[in-house]
Amino acid sequence: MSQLFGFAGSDDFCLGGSIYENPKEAGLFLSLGRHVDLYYPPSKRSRISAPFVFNEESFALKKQVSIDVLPEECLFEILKRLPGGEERSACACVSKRWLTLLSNIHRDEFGNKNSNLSLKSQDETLEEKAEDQEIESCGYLSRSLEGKKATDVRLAAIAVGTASRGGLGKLMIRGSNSARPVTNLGLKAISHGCPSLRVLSVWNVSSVDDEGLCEVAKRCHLLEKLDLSQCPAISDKGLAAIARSCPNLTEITLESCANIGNEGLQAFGKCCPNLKSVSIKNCPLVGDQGIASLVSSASDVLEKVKLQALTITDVSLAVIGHYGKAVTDLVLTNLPNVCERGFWVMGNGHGLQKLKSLTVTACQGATDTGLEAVAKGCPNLRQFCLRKCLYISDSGLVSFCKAAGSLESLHLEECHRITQYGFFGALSNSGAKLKALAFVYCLGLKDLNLNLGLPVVSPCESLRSLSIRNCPGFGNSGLAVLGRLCPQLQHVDFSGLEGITDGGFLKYLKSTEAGLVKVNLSGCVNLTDKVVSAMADLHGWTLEVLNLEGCRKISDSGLVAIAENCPLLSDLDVSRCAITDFGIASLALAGQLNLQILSVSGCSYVSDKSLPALIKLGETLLGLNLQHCNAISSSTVDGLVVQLWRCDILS
Amino acid sequence: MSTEEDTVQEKKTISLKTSDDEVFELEENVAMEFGTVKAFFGDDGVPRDMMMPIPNVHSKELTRIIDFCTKHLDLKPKAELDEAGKKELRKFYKEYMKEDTTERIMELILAADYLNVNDFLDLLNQTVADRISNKSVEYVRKLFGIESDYTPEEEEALREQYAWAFEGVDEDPAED
Repeated sequence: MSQLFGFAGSDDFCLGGSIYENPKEAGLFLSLGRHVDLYYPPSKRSRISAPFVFNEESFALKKQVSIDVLPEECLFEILKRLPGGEERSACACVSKRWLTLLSNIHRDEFGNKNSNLSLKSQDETLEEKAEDQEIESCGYLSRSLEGKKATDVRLAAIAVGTASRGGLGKLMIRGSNSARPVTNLGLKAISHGCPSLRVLSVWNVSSVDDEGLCEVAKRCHLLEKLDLSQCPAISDKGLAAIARSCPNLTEITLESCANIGNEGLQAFGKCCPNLKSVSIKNCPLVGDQGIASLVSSASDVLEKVKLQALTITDVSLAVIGHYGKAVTDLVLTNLPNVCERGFWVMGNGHGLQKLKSLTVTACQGATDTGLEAVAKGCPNLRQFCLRKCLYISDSGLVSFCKAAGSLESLHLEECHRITQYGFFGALSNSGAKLKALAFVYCLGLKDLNLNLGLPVVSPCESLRSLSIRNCPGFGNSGLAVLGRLCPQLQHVDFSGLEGITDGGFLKYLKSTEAGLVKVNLSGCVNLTDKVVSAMADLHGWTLEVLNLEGCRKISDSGLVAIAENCPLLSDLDVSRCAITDFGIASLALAGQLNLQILSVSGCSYVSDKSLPALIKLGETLLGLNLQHCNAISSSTVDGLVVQLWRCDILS
Repeated sequence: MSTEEDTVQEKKTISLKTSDDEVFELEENVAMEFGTVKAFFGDDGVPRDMMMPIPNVHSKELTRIIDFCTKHLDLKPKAELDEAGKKELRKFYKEYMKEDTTERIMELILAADYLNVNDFLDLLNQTVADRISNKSVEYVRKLFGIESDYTPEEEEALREQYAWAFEGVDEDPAED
């Protein structure tokens, strides 16, 4: 029985100490003088090894040694018979030895009651047992241990405590206590006490290795999600054990685990028929072999694939292109050994028929040819996001848009080769479904020299949302074309476009057909109240969200225009604008305005005098940002917090 | 040592010698309740009239164990027959350990464990488990003379985690 748990306990049956309640009895032994001599047969061992002292002290001492006399197996048997979760949890607090013993009792071993022994009738016992098991098998509790609190003792305590209160479903361990780190023993305790574990997430624990995972694999067969990050001691052996024992596994995330390689992935592919999502980042031992065997084995079920910072080559992409029949989301980031040929072959594999979303970041293989092949080979591609790509050119972008007939959302970030020609070309040539277009930090998107004539554009009637953020050089002339190019825009985001001025934006406002619903002009420092008034005039009947953060020239007259003309406005951000108490008061006076979120952060001219106005606005406000408002005193803020109890106030 | 087969088979008692040199003669069927004894005599070639030494068990414990086994052997077949028998057996279990101190029970556990008397062990273990059910942690520690080896933070964290388990705990009973 002592092999039940890995304790390095001595096998001594009796640790000595007096067992006589009554010192007189000990005296009886002592009086057997004639037996205590040379002829005393050596096979008879005395149970008493300590000398006797007939006084009160020995009595007290004796009582203290009472349970330590019992070997581990006996204590184990006693603890197994504790009736309920409450009793087990209370006993877990007695000492670490008890906690460790309790945590090693498998859930099914509890309540090992002989039906005759039970002091209750059989019916009662059966009822209790059924109830217990019902609660235990749910697995709806989740626990998260971080840093200092992540110790083996805590894990054992969780294993004991959650067992009878619904069972542990999710366990997250983030880091480990440096003095008493999480080790395999902790995971072993969890596996004994929490067989209903569905999600296991271990980050940054170097003291857990394959043995710990094998323990979890032995008893937690309901595991669905495994997430390992920065666990250098875990290797393919542990992963294979989990793969073999957990058929319900649907999601795997492996990040920065230096010893995980191809065999682990092969095991997942072979043994997990429900594997839907795989994410592998920065595991240097993972190569084409692993990815290829995983994708080909899980061909019918694998839906989400994310590969980042790996040494894989074109071969992996070829396999994905051929075998990725169920893949809907594909993310490829920082794959230095993948070239143009990889993308071309992936597109021409014609296997990615169900691919809906593709994100490519920092891959040198994402060239015009490569991406065009992908667009042609993935007829159902709806979302495409391309980041940090220095190779795609205007014509490449245009041919991509022509080929991707189902495209609904296009996002380009840090693609510095694209110019406004590419931008207009993309819009003119996109399919009838393109709804959202975004360019972020693309340095090439500078205004064109219009002396060369306006480019020929055909409008994109389907586009509803356009974002051009932080693209320096994009200014009025680019803006001027937009009205014709995307007449049906409802959401616009021009944050950080410092080149835009009143003239250009006013022209744009007049040329667009549909009513604007969400407008973000944060950081457009050259815009003035004229723009706000025009917007309120022309689009006030649809405007719901307006962000003017950092527009230093916007002042109270802008707010007055908003107050009068924008009945639907629910979210207004005028942080760091030149507004004063008067502007706030006008907002409050507007009868039809029902603001829910208001930010006046950094507005130094908004003072305590705005208190009544803010209270009036507070009737509908859910969120109010008063950070860095130096003219508002803290007592005013406190008063607001009390009065506007429904509102979340930041100050 | 007798060499006649007949004598060995006729003799229905087994002799056990305890640590304090007392020899007990038990009926064979009672002695066979002791797993250790059964294993010892189970092998061929070990004659039944050989005295088996049990140096880890004192006569006091052995007396009690024999008493339990005899009564248990008597009640068990009746329990399998009908509900009344079952009831009687349950009552027997309930009453048998009532008067014993926890320390005594520990001693009996050690003896029963050595002798491998499963039924008695079950009862003893259950009794201890019942006695520590729904008692405070301090009471359990005092009862068994255990010193907590948790650091104060660990203790605090555990208490918080298990706060629900400490509701409705019995008042600490008077000293044993």
